[in-house]
This record gives sequence, structure tokens and C-alpha cells, in this order.
Amino acid sequence: MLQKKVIGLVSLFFLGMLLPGYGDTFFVEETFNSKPFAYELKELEQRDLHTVFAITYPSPIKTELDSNNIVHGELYLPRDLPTGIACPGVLINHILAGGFNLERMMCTSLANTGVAAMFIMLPYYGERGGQKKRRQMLENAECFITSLEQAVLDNRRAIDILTSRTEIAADRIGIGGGSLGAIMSATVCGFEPRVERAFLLLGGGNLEKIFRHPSGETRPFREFLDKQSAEDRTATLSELKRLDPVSQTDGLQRLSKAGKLKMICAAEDQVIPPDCSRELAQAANCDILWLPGVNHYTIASQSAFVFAELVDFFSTNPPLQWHPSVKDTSVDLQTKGLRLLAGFFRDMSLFLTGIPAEGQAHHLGLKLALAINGSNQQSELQLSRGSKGWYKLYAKVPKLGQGWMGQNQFPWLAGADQSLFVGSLNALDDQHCSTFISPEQLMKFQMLSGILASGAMAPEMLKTYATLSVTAEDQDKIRVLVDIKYAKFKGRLHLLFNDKDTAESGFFNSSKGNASFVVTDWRLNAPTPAAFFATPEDRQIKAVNQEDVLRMTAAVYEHLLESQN
Amino acid sequence: MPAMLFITILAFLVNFSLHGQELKITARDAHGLLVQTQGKRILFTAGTPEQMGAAHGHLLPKMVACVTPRTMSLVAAGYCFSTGKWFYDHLDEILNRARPHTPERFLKECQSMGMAAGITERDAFYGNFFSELFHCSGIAVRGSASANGEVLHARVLDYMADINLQKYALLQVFMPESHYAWLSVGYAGFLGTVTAMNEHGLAIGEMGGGGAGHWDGMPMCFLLRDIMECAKTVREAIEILQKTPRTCEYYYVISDRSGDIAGIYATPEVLEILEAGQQHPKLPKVPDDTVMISGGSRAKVLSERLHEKHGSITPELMIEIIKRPVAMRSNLHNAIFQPSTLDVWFADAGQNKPACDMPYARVNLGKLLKFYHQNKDQ
Repeated sequence: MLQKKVIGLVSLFFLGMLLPGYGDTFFVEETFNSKPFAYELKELEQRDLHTVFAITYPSPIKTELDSNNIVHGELYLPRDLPTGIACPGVLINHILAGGFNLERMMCTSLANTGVAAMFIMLPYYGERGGQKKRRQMLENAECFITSLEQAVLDNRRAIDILTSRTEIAADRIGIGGGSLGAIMSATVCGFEPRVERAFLLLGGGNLEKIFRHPSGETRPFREFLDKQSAEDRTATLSELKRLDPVSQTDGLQRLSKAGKLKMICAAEDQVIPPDCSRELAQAANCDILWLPGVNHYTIASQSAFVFAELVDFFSTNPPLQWHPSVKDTSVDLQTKGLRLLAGFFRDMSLFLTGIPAEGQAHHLGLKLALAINGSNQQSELQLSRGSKGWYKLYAKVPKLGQGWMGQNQFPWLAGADQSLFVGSLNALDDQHCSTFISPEQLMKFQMLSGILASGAMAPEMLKTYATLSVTAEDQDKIRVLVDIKYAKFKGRLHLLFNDKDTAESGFFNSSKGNASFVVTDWRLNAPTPAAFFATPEDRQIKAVNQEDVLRMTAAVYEHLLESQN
Repeated sequence: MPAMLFITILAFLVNFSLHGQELKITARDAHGLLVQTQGKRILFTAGTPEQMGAAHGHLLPKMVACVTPRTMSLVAAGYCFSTGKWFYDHLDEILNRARPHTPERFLKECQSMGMAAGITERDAFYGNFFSELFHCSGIAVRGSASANGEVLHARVLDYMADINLQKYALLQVFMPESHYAWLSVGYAGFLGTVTAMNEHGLAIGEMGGGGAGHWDGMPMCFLLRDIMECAKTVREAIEILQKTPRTCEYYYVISDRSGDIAGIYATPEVLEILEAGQQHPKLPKVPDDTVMISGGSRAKVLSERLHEKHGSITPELMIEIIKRPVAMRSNLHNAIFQPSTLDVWFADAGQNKPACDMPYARVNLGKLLKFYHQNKDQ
């Protein structure tokens, strides 16, 4: 027995030598197929609350393309986990397009909460694909079928790794992903009894039906099926059926019965037909949380909600024993800058979407200067948001003039000559300013708040699109420069934070123009009496149609939003 | 050659080529077409007022609603903030006083357009009776002033490009039953015009003055439409202007294919005509064979440019002449008409660029009308 173990370890050592890179090699003895293997970790980045490693391990399946036989991924391990505490681990599968930014965002958000997370690249993706990349998967029926099988087994080996690590609780291994990642994860649930919970975003079942659905994303699969011989197609469809999420009823129902299966879908999904999502839910015996009014892509507008659900799902039931926390001891400027940025995003997201408790309100005052195409404009804004949808806005905008608008029992506008227009005529309880804002603009607003919330949860992801420089200024102030070099947008954002870690001014520069702002008021959940939202006093009141006032305020809101595009 | 093949090729050539530019039909109605060319939308409507209005509303329901009530609500907010008066009271007053002077056919088209677009009748009327003071420029040159002696007529509309009305810009081709066909550089939901040319080569552009409050007449935008639909020449246009009750204070430049050009100053009481080359104390020196209307320092630059290029002005040169500072930063659209050929060059403002700095599209009214008639029933 001992001899066998020694031979095994020696074999593993040499296997480890075959893995690319120069990181640390780890051995996994207890595996799903009783075949020990080695994996390699190479530290990529030490972050404030977690460390990111590149991970590589051999695929249990050998294909003709050597590079495809090594699985690549990234492991996100929470830092400073106390001795004796094991955190949950989650395996994330990626979307069809690859790119891996969504998966990195998911892993970062989880690791910042105290959940170890790892994503792996499916067969022929990323470094695995060589020159021909993932197109090879569809070269012939055999290759496609092997890829499906390989994907499942690579997942199982990833779970071998997660369960082998002492800092991860082997009895709390989750799986999840979006779109293809959700489909893959659902399939793995049918094969892998060690999966304790699963999070399926935009998932569905009945793969043949999904492929046949006329979306651009699945066209290569349709064409692949159509060009096959009848015999090959039968074999392919049979294998598809075997690996189809709807065929994994036992594994999925085991999780749903324990309340540990979550499906979130877009009601207007044009890639994964809602019917296919329902088929999967029926096979899993679980409910779907439908997001209304969004499709496969505009679901990004709901990213704040989706990421909150992801983190909540993997960090509760039961709650985590430990959460990473920001250390009080001094940190380097870069880390401090990232924390300030995360805080800024969190506060902005809260300001825009958070509903203050009764008797409280959020307050934001800004002085803005814009320079676009040689024209300079100065604006002032003071916005206060209370509970029940009440608000009060002062705007001084070039060409539009200056005035107050707000909402208490009725919407109102205050203009020149002490005028005050109160929308108390033909008033309906269920009409609000947002009723008259176009869905496109509402979507943009939700996208913006989603980006802010995501930035707060995973500020490190900013580095994917931007470089950060942080400098200390006089009076304990800190300047953070975000240099955005995203392919579709380039610009530089300077933010100056005061000694209370609050943004007090900023400057934004892009090819379209420059904008600077000074924060004149910034309070969240500040005690604010209802009387604060009363109409301005000593004005000539005119009762007008509620709908007219709401449409006007909606138009001002849309104009402000459009001017930022 | 088989007849069908010949017809197919002919139809293809007529359908999809206009000055070498592709015309692509994007939507159809029983009495209208929506077409894309050179990055511009062209709306064709034909028939009775009810049929034209319905076609307009059916083909552009979202865009119409974006103009009125949406953009109108933004103007309303700005008006309330800056004047302290309720905008809709102001519009009600205009509507009540101007409606009796407005031809019934325009009112019917407005109602049908609103109903088909899914907006209220009130919003449809408000969007078309809303009158503003535009600080624009207009120029017409001919004879010794233009390169080939023919009339070239430029129109610069400077009007609140900041409210993004340009997002809903269209070239409209109206083919009303029993009236002349014409085109307007216009906007969704807008049935009047401020920049237009008809099938007889009569072109017009409007410039705003003062006189707000004089609403007892035909709204200017409908008055210009009436001219387009009923007049063939500059003099016929002037006759309509003279006999129609007018509102507020406006200036016009009018030209026709015969080579006649005129500048007009119009209030409810006064109609003053400025002939080609005629000087006016309020204007800098006007070159020979030229009519120009502009204001302040813009007029001075315009005069200098017209003098400098006198005798060599082509459509391309006119596009250069009307660039800033002749056009204002709020330059919403420009058009250059060549009435003798029915050619039109036009540009709309970009999101952050005045129209004069945007690329121009070129169309020909005669070919557009032919295109419609050959494609309306397919």
C-alpha cells in the first residue's frame, strides 16, 4: 500500500513538472475518478481582501491538441482566513463568448465576501484553444462530443481541487455561471454529488431546442448540426441529450429540495428561450426568478441585483462563519485608493437606488462645469431623495434655466417670478415621474447603477479596463486617477477624497470634452423631516395637471441623462 | 431580354439609386413609405389629409411621441423655469386663437397623425401649433452671383440643437391629394414646415423675429405649408402671404426655378418685400443678384463671404459660406436648394455638433416622387 502511494506521489511529481509555468505544485489524491493529479498555482495579484492565482491542471481527457489538455483558470482565495475556519468554495463556468470578465467579476465579488471562487476555461477556450480557438470544437461530431464530455470532467477535477484545499469547506462546494456557464453548471450537478448548491443565471435546458432557436449566438451550433450526416447527427443529439441539463433531474432536484438551487432568468431572453428555462426549472423542480423587461444582454442593467443575489446565495444558508474585513492598520496608497473608489461607487449606487427610511433622506449637491466642443457650461444641482418617492431637486442648467422641482403628495415645479405649479389636478396615485421616462433611458440608468454597484463589490475589476494611480495630497487628502482605456471608451477620471474618505471634487476628461465637479453636499440616510420636501414658501401656487408636471420632470431627467451620453 | 428581367433591373435601378445613393425602404403603409438614404430618414406620405396623417403616425409612432409630448415637455419645463408661466396655458391660447385661421385639411392630418401614433389629440396639436423665435439666416443667389447663373437658395436653421430634436429629424415628402407635392426638412410629428421646396421648384426658408403674442392668424409653419401646396412661383407665394392672416414677426427668403428670388419681412400688419440686390438699413451691404437675411455679426460675415465668392457660388461653396459663425452653435439644420433641378443638400445637427459641421445628404425631389410612385404598391 505504501509502495503504491509512493509511486503515485512520484508520478504526480513528474506530472507536475509537465504543467506549464513556474508556480507552486499541489497534489490531489482523492479524486472523482480515483486518479490523483497535480495542479499548479501561480500568484497573479495580492488584493486587499483576497489573492488571485492562475491555476492549471491536466484534463482527465486527452485530445489531439496538446494545449487543450491543460485546463487553465483562476482561483480567488480570501486573505487572512483564521486558523480552523474553512470558507465555502464556488466553481464558476463561463459564458459562450469567453473573455472571462463576467467570471472574474463573479469570483472577485465572492472572494471579497469570504467565499473562495474559481473559474476554469472550457475546452478550446483561452490558452487551451491554440490558433484555431473554440471553432475546433465544432469541426466534427466526435470532437464536439468529446468536448462536452471533457468539459464535465474538467469541472469534476476542479471540484477535486476545491475539496482538497484545507481553507475550503469540502461540504460546501457550489457551482454557477451565466448562460452557457449556467447550462454547464446544471449539467455538472447531474454528475457531481459533491456540489452542495448551484446558481444558474440565464440557464435553460433542452439543448437541441436552444441550438435550433434562431439567435446569432447559437448559429454555429445549428450549422454544425445541419451539416452532419444523419448518423453523426443522431450520435451527437444522443450525447447532447445525455449531457442536457434537463436530463440531470436527480442531481438538480437534490439541490432544489434543500433550497440550494437558484435560477434567475430574463423574461425577454432572445438567446436562451424562456420556454427552455422553464423546461430546466421543471426538471429541477425549482422556481425561476424572472427579471421583467430585460433580455440576454440588457440584463446587465440588473447587475447590481444579480451580483447581490450571487453573493447572498453563496454566503448564507447557513451564514458564513467569517468575513474578510478591511484592516485598520495603514495600507499602501494603491490599496487605499481602491478602497476609496469602492466606497465612492457604493455610496453613489446607494444614493441612486437606495430608498431611505422614513424621516431620512440622501442629499447630493454638485457644481458642474462642462466643456464640450469649445462651449463652456456651468450647472448646479442639489438633489435630495427621501422615502415614498419624495424628492426635491434644484437645477441650474444652461438654456433650460433654473428652478426647483420635487414631489411630496403631488409633483411640483417652481420657476421664475415666484411661480409654483403643483400637479394636483387629475392626480392618480400610481403615476410617477418614471412612468413617463422612456424604457431606453430607464435601462441606461439601471446600467449605470449596476456598474456602480458592481464597482463597489469588485473594485479590482476596474483594473481590467483602467489603470489606477493614487497620490497623497496636502491635508490628508488623496487623489485617485482612473485612466480608462477600454476599447470603446477612453478617458481619465480624477477624484479628490478628503480626510473623511468622501469625494469632494473631480475632473473628467475624454475626447468628447471635459467636466469638473465640486461636491457641495453629500449625506446618506441623513435625518430629514417630511417638511423638508414641502413646496417653497411665499410663492404663487397654480394647480395644474399632474401628468403635465410628471412629463416635464421626466423630460428634464432624460435630458440630463442624454447630455451625459 | 425577358420583360420580367428588364422590369426587375429597371425597378432595382430606380428603387435603389438616387444620385448613386441607395434608397432602402424600411417600412410601408398604405399611404406612405419610410426610406433610409445616406444615413437619413425620408418619410413619404400621400393622399387625403386623413390618409397622410395616419401614414405618418403608423410609420413613426415612437419618434412622434418622442417629439410630442416628450421633447415638448422639456421645452415646457424650460419655459416655466425661465418665465414663471405655465407653458400649456400659453399653448392653449395659441391654439384657440390660431386654429380658426388654419386650413381644415391640416387639422385633420394632425388628428389622424396623433391617433395613429398613439398620442393624444392635444399633444398632436401642441406640437404643431408651438411657435418659436428662430435666429436663422437665409440666402438666395442667382445670375451674376452664382457660378452657373441659376438660383441657389440656402437656409440655416439655428434653433435649440441642445434639446436633441435632431434625433427625430426626417426629410418629409408630402404628396397631398389635389395639391402640389413638396418636401420639408422636418421632424417626426411636425406637419408644418420652416424649410421646404415644392415640385415646381418654389423654395422657402423662415427666420424668426419678435412679435410673440400675435396669434390671430395662420401659424407660420402651416402658412409655409400652404404656400408649398398652392404656389408655383415667388410672386404667387407673396400673394398668399399678403392675403392670409399672419402671426408674430417673421422673415422669409423665397426663390423659384424661373430665377426669381425675394426676401420678405412679415408681421400681422406689414409685408415688406426685398428684391434681389436691394439694400436695407438693417443689413450690411447685399451683393448684386442676392437676397440675404441674417442678424448681427453673423450678417456681416455672411455679407463678406458672399462678396468674396460672388460669381462663383456653387452648392458646395454655399455649404462653406454658411459655416460658423454664419450658422450659430445651435444650428439645427441647413438646406441648399437648387430650384431649377429640384436638388436639395441638407444636414442635421449631430449630438454635439452643429449641422454646418455635419455631412450633407443630397436628394432630388423629382426622383423622390418617381421613386415613391414606382414603389408604393409593391
